[in-house]
Amino acid sequence: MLGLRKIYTVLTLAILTFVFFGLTSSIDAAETITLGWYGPTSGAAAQDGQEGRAGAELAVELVNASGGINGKQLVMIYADDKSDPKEGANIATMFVSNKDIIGVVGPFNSSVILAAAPIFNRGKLCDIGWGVTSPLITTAGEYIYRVAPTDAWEADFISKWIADEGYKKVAFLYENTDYGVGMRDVIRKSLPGYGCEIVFEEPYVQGQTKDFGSIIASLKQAAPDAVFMGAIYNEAALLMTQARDLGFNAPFFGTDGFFSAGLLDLGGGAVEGARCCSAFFTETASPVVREFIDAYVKKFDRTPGNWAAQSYDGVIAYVEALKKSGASTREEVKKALDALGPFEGATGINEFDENGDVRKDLVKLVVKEGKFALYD
Amino acid sequence: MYLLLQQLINGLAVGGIYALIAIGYTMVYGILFFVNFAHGDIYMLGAFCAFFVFTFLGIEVTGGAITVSQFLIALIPSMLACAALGVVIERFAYRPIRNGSRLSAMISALGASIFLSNAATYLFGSQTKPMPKLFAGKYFTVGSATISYIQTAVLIVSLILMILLHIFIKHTKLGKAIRAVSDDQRAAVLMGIDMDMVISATFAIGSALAGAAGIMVGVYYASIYPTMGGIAGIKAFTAAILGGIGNIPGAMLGGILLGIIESLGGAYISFGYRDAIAFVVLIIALCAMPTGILGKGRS
Repeated sequence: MLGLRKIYTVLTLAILTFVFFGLTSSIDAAETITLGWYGPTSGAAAQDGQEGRAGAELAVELVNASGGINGKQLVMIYADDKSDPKEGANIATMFVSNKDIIGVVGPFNSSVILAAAPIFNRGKLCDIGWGVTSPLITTAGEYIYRVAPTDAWEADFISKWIADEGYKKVAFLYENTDYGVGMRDVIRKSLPGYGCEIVFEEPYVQGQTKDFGSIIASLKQAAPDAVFMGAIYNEAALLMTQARDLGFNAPFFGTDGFFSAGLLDLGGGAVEGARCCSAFFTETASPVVREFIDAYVKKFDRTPGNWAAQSYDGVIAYVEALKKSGASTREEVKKALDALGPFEGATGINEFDENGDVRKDLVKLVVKEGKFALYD
Repeated sequence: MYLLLQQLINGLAVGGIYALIAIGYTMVYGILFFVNFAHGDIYMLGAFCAFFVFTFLGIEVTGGAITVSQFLIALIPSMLACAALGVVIERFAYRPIRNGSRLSAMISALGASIFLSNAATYLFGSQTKPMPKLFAGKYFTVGSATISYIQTAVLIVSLILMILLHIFIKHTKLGKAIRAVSDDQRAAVLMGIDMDMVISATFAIGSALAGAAGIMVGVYYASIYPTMGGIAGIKAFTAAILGGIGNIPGAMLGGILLGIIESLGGAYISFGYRDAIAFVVLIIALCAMPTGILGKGRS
């Protein structure tokens, strides 16, 4: 008799527990949508990483303030990859094993996403890179997307610009990473295609080479009309500063890796006249872009840069896809992204192609009186 | 010919910096027989110290410019602060375990290094900070080679500091004491030399020179960041070994040689392999001369 009562009590408790936890977890799942974000908020590209994170934070805040995605609040889990591919793989594993996460935005560095991509593909979890621009990522797997225009897209754009300006002899300097090497492979075809000759081509170690004096000495000997750098702002500022100190005055061209406040801060007067391109620029603003800029200035009290806008658009891609489709699993999210079509974000109209690469227009920029300005 | 001359000049300027940092490694090794891994981080803090002096003086750090006197005004307190920091690190991280095994001292040094670079990241932020420039855009030409004012300044300041150090070591009583302890510790103590004082002085001098290297690199490249001590430390340590660790003129020679090898190797082989070339040369040199170029071969 006593035994039976004991069993009864235990059973009741078990059922109650089951119902209670079952209910709470189903409530959680119903009310929120969880995404992951990662990028280098510390390390060599920290300025870009922190700006990217700010863009994502703003996207989450604006989406939730306007009622969330089909009534569900958006939750974002942030991680710092320090620009380190090893960290990227760790973060990918962490995100894949967290079953609440149905989509990921990140990272900034091409090397990092190349390390993380196999893990995301195995976990069938979509990842939209917000800063990754290496052509190698086009074939990184069906779950890998990006909102940043590819280096192939940008390098071709800059090559044509250099040729249009009438420069014939071009030097190419690049960081010895997937980003720089990918760009090198593109310009080896694109520059000669537009009638330019590559007279000098050298790599350097990103985050480690500080002294460019010896590279500049060889560069001067090659006597190019223009220099094209496959670099981000840190090294670009260092190289231009040292080049000016050594009396080398050919114009410098770069892709959107140049387009950062860091270039102006670190380079000062030496980066005057440097030319680059970007998908995002505050002075060519549509109403949607304007809205993004105003909200960003209000929240962070500073003007957003390219990476804030790209990272913002990475989040918006999910928001638009989820709103349209009502997807709630990783598989459904993948289908929704493939079926998304054009969507408008902070960098204008974006559209994923069949490889998950983005198509969007670029603007020509030049550093003028210590600021980025439209080139004309 | 142009390329060779230009690369030699560049190598000399970079080598001067390596030499200044290498002296600190070699002085400490000469007395305590362990590698002070925190030395590269003292170099980094020297640069940050100068950054704060410039900010305190109201100099625009972003894209700003400084005069020679402002540079010297920042140099002195930065060197003093680094000297003090070196003494403090020795007092708290190394002295308590001085009679322990050399391995404990090495691990304590690694700990001090990690502590300093993380503390700097925490306090100053991880971003690269701009520094005002000295002689921005100024250069002169010798034959076909271009030499920037700042490269010349770096080389001159490095040489002056090395000459001062040489005079100090050879011609002062404290310098003599340092040499005595380095030669034979037990005999030096028996002769009445204050061991603790000599060790503190060694750390102070080595750290002050590292601090000077830090501020020069700061204004040379116009940027500083908390992890800048890592690769510079490794390069300087390599220079110290190349010259013969424990030997001060050896460290100077090793630093200059390493700078030149890197420059030439980069230019004539590939800039992508510049660091690798430096280490390959080190290995070859050590195979031929296991104690380094000027090393005395201690058993």
